[in-house]
Amino acid sequence: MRRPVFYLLLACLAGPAHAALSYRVDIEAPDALKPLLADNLELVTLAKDPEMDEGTLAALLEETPAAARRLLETAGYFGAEVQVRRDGDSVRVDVRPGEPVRIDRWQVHYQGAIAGDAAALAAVQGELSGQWPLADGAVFTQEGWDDAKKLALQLIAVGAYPLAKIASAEAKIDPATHGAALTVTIDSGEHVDFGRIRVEGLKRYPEKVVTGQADFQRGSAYSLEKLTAFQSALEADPHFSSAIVVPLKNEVADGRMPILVRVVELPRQKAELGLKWDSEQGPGTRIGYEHYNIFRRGYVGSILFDWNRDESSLNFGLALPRTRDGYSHTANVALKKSEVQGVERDSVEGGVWRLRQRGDIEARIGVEYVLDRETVGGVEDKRNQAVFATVGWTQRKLDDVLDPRNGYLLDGRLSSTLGSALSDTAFVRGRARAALYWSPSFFPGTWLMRGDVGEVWAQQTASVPSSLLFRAGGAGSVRGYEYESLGVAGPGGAVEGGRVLATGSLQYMFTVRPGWRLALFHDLGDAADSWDSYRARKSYGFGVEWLSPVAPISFDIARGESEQKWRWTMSLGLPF
Amino acid sequence: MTEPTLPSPGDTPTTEPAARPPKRRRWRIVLLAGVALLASLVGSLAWLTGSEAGFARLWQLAARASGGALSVARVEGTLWRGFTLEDARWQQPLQRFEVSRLMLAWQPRALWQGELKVDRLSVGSVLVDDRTPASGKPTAAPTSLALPLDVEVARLSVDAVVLAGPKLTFQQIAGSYRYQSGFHTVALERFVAPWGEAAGALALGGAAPFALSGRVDLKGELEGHSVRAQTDVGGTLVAPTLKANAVSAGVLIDVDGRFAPFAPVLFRKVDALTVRMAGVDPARLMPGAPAARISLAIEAKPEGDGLQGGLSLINTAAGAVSAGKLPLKLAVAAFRVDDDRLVLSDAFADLGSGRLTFAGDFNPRTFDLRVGVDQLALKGIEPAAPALTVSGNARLAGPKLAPTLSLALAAGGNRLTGEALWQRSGAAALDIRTLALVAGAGSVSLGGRLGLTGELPLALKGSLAAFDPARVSPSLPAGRIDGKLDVDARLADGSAGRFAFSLAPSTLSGAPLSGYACARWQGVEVDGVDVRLALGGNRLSATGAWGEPGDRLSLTLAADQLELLGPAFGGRANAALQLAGTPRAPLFTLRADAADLRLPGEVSVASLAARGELASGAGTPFELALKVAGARAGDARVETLTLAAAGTRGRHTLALTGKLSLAERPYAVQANLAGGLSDAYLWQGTLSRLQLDGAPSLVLLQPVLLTAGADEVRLGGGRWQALGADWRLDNSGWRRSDGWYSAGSVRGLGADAVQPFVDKLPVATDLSIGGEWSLRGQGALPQGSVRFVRESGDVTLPLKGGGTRPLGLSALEAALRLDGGSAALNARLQSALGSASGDANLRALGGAFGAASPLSGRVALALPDLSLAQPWLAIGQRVAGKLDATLNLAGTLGEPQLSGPLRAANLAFTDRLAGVALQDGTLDAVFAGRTLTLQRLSFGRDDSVSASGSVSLAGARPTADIAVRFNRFVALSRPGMRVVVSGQTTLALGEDAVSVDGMLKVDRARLDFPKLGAPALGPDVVVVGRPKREDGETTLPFALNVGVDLGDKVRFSGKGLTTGLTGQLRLIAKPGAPLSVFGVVDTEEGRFKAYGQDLDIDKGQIVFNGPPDNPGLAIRALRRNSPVGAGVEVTGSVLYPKVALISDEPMPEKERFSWLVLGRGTGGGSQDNAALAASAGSFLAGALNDQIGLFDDIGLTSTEEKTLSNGTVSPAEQVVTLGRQLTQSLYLGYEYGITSASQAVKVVYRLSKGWSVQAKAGTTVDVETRYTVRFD
Repeated sequence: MRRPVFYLLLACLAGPAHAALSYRVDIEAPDALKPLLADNLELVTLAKDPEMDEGTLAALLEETPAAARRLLETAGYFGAEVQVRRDGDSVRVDVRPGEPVRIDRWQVHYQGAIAGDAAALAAVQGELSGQWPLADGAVFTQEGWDDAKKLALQLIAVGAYPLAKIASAEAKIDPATHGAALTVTIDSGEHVDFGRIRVEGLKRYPEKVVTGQADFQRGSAYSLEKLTAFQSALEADPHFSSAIVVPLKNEVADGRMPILVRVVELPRQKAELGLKWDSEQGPGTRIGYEHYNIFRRGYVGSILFDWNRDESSLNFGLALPRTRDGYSHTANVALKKSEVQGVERDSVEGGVWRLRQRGDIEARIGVEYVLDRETVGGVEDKRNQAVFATVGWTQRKLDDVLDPRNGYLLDGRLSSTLGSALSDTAFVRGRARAALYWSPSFFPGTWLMRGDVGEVWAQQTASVPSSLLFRAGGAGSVRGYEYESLGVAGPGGAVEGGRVLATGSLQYMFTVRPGWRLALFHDLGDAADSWDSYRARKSYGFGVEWLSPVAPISFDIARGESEQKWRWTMSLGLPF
Repeated sequence: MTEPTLPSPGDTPTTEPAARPPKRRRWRIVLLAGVALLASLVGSLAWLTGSEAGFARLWQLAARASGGALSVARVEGTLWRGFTLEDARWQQPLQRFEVSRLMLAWQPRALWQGELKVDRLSVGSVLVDDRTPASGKPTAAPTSLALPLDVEVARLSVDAVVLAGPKLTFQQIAGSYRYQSGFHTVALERFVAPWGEAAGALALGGAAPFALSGRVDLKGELEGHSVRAQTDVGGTLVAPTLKANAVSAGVLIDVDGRFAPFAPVLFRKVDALTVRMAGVDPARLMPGAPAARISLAIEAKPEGDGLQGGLSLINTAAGAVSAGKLPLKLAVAAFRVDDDRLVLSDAFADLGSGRLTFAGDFNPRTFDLRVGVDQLALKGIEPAAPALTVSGNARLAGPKLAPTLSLALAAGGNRLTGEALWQRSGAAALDIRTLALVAGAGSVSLGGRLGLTGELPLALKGSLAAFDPARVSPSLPAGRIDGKLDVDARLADGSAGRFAFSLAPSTLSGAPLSGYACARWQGVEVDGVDVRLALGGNRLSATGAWGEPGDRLSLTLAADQLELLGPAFGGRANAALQLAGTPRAPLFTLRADAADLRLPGEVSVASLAARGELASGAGTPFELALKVAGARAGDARVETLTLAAAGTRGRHTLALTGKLSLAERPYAVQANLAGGLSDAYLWQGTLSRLQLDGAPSLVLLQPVLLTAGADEVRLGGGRWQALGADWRLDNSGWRRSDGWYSAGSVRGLGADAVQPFVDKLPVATDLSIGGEWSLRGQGALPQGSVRFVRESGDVTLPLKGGGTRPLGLSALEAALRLDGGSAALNARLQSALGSASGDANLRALGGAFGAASPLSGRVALALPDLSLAQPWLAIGQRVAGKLDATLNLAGTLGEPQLSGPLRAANLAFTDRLAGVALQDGTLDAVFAGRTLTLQRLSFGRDDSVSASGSVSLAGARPTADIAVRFNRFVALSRPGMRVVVSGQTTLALGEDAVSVDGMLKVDRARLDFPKLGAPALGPDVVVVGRPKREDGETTLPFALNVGVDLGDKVRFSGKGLTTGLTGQLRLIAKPGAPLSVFGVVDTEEGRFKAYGQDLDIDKGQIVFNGPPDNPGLAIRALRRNSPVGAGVEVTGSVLYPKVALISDEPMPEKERFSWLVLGRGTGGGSQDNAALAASAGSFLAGALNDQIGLFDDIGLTSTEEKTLSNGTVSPAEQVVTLGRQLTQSLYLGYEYGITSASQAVKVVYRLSKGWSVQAKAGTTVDVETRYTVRFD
């Protein structure tokens, strides 16, 4: 919420020992400038102080016009008139900001090695003119100027010129003509490639576990993005409790910058033992074991056994660390057995995956095996078995993962059995998801459009493993309906998965204060057995989104049109 | 009067023995007369030495006896009780001594013990001017220096001693003297010479061989570096030894020698000597000397009967003479002294561009010095010199009284040879036997004789044969000149003589040159002038005589080809002059014009025309007209200048107009005079107009009378306008008999008056000053008075925040009275701020004012209300109080002595914005000599700050030593900051810098986290019309070494941080360097609230190791009750902090964060999402908790769909959790299912790090225990 009231009613917080001096400050200024003054003028910020006395207040009143002018200059107002009047316990600050200083011209010069690289220079200049925050005619602000300098530097420093620095910068302000001329000269330093990766802190695991996570080779052009990705990959790696990746800028030799990786290892094995008692399920146990250095090659293997009266499961997993070429492999097998009202249900799920992550694109190829078997009284009632290959492809291209304003997310997944071989029925499953963020330059706020379409083509729908069918509803789907409550109605009010799925959403978000956004949205969609029986459900709602340092957290309240009921949901992170 | 009469040196002789007694009565009469005489003698002696009046009379008698040589202005006291003499002088034709004051206090009683005991001998300024020529005889060693009685002068001081001959001034001489057991001892406490200060002690035996010992320490400055030197003197007076060494940055001097000061020959005065110097620059030692960097070694030691030694000199900064450098690179010499003979051998000097060799043999009768010049390129010595390389030799040899100088030098194709005899005895003369310059085929030769005594007769004959001037210097024209010169003259007492010069047919610059010139002269009279010179088309001819009545001299110049004279000449000049009459009444006709004239020395004239005629006596008309246009010489330029005079000699007018510029400043001048020259050759008339436009300008407002003659110049009274003011000049002028005189007054002299001389005044002022003067003088010091008074106006000072405000000046007055021997200044200033008044009297010493001139006077300063200075202080600052000072002046002008109190009361200074408040201040200080003793400076009712110490102004720079004590002093007090300190610091102002040392302890402090991040313009933002801001670290102007003990009552809070601070810091700075801080500050019972958690600061160290704004950080804050020790660690520095999450055991970052915020791990489950949810939830919890502070845990989890064995389905749903870690091991939580609205209460009890028990009660109840272990 925008700060609604800019006069501060400040009561004395001090104890009775202090001679209380209470005063109120009214700032009469254009709304855009009020927060700047209210947050930074000592007259305002010290008003709460219990030790404020008449003498100090008098000095502050005297100083305020000059202090206010200094603050206004950082917002581009170099000819502001400020008057301070005190009337009893009320202080009035009258600000007439005058004409702001606008940018007349700006220039960014690049010198150093980049000057010889015409293509890179042209690309940088193109990006500069697109992103420069203080374009011609814009109002000069100190913040914009700082951003502009940072941008001019970052554009090449994140690439092959990490040693770049600002050689000189000058913002020449002419208060008489209300014009500003900006000149920045960046010294790119030499062209830098990645050098050797030096790893410190390894005792247990092979070095490949670390180096394999890097998306670059010795000799490939330096990129900060790749370095950051390397850092986050290592942080997420189960072998290490922490990892720091340091580019050794002082040790650049022959145009190559060595990279230092400092890791703290976790012990090689982990065991977990759990005992459990539940009033409904009775006693249970959970035993897990993980080993992080199988074959001394850093492979991670895990076994998890979970048992209770009704249900038991056994999971095996094996993950091979990512290799230099960007591929990683995983395999897992899960056996599950449950008994509900005499129906014994066994399932086996297993798969082998080959994953590749490169830049913002993630690709997967895998072969999976699914077996569902139901036995009633020792007689096999139902048996669905499928062996199918899956190809998946995801791209996340956003300007800022934590605060997306522009960009898109794409995800496609296609699975197919190999005819009827080893499967009860031949089927093909496809699903495509897309989300688009758009912040128009002519209108405040951000638009989010989301779509999700999926279908399973099968000879016999009933023989398709139920985990491959679709359900909708809830966060990330159609809000205003319960989580996964949209699908095909099953026995006993249960909701079963459908063969087709289509959902869509249109959402408008605007920032109310840094880190917080309000959203208005309209969702629609459904999952059904066939397109004929498909009937899209609609909902409207509004929500609050908090851009936490980890991921955006949304709290939404929506009303499903068919159920006429307000429901709330919480969701975390990006749509997918 | 009861003092015993004693004989004293110089007193009248004692009574003669009584005459023989011829007869009894007569004997009685004689006896009576003798007794009466004796009594009256004793009585008058007692009166003369024992009473003030008598003692004064004694000096008058002495003055009379000296024949006017001695004079004493004032005498106080008596011989026995001690006395003071003022202004004592001794004046003889070639000697002059002046003593401004002499004060003697002694103990006559001690004479009974055979001792002369002087308590104090204090002498003011002394002038010594002794021009007695030296006798020339070597000084002989004294036979005895013993004194008849012991002497002790306990305290001897001399303000200043001025040696008028070498113009040296020694100041502040203080010490003591003693003669005891046959030894003279002098202890010198202080002795200030122009080149430094000395202190030391010397002892000298009274009997031969006068054992000598002592040590003097010198302290001075050389090349901007302080120098310290030690000199040890030993041996005897007949054969003293000297050991000295001086060290300074880059300069090292080491002298060790034994001398024989009474030896008859100069070079025998050294017995042995070693001198080593390095890095010496003569320019620093002697103004005007060339710059160099010289290392010098001189070694002389006895060898056989004689003394043998060598000298070597290296100059590492050799350079051209015109650049003020010494062209010498290396010089080496070896010498030997045998008996009275000095032999110099193997000596040479390397000048870089050539070499000089020396050899010599000197004894008291003959000497022989040979100098060889070896390939010396003159350009190497001086770039402006002609490009010649000189070789050859020169020799000065022969008997000491008639040496012969011979010379044979060659350069290029030119040779210079010569021989001259220098007759030094009898009729001294220089007899030039030959001096010849042979340049290629041509030559110039000269011979003659110059008498060096009497009339200085000169006889010179010379000839030129086919001489080509261009061979000597390329700037001279080429030619071939043949000619002869014959001069016969006497140079002394109004020279007279004749000269004849004739040229055979020659050429110059390719044009024919011919002619002759001859003349005789006596003083200014000439006769027999006959000049006829022709160079190409240029002609110069003169004939006739001038000086006697009836003589006539005519001169004609027709030069249309001046360029023939050389490259520096050009243009045309024609003139015709007829001169008649006598020097006292010349008659002339002149006609001259010139165009495009160029002369050497960058002088040029575009056009010049002069016409003049003065035909005959006083009544005849004359005319004079001069017109110059476009003339230029150096930076003086004349655009036009016209001078016209017409009338008769007795009555004429003169007009001058011109436009010129001097040093780029344009001026226009106009002057008109009317008057005439009387028969007594006194010009009398009127200056009717004088106007000088420009800066400064000068306008005569009314005609004034002007009289000018050889014995008198007088300007009548008149009104003038200059420097923007009206001046009234009364009779002023100069008379040969009694010097110059001037009187006048000025009104309305404003600040613009200084505009032509000063670019911009530092203050704005509309001050208008009036004044009057009346001065006259002859020779050295003027007499009279000058007085200046403010008429109106004020001085406006700029205010700190912009704008200006007048000072409120109500009176400003200064009067100076000069009476030839002294100057008295009386000044008074009264402004709104305060007033100052003073008078000073300065007495001349030796007829001039100088550093040693005695000074006396009084200065009073009163600032009754300092708060009136309020407008000039910065915002938020207040000052109050009053200040008074009454000081007496004494001493000399160079070393004034002050005495008197300086008092201030009710002092207060507050700066609200900085939080400084000093109240109830008192200052008590006393000036004594040149020291200000701070008896008391304190602030606060209970003296919370007090200072004492002294400030000395004695040295070249003031020094001070002040102790400041703090006693529960509120150093800072403003919202958010309150610091109370105790302790003591000393403030010392040394020779180099101010230094502050000390130790402070913080009694109590409360500091709030400073507000950060207020936007401010960056240093690279340049605003047109504002001064560019200085970028860089702020440096301190003084040295600082202060320890600060934070004590145990410093609280720091803000931004979620609350902590006590303890530790010790040391603040160190050197002048001109930024402040450095060293030390470690520890946190004490610190708590940090972050992510909604109270984190206990387990370890908190702020390590200062230099920059005050960027200390190193070592802070570890742990979550209270965290089983895994989760927390935050901050390392790095304040500007570059590194924040890391920590835990006791290794775990991934997200896990740590979860432990930190939620007090539990992320748990198992589908890894990433859960971790993400946990950490996002942690952030949300943290953000909310900072506001609410109720829950540690606000989270979101999702449960999977479950079908229970009874067939009921528990659908998948999102669950919100709230919880709080109650103790280290107990967690209480609440879960709410979003969809099912199911609720559950969760209790987690942690048995150990990896083992926990969890119970959940809602619609169902479950209990779970889990044990996790990681191992290798």
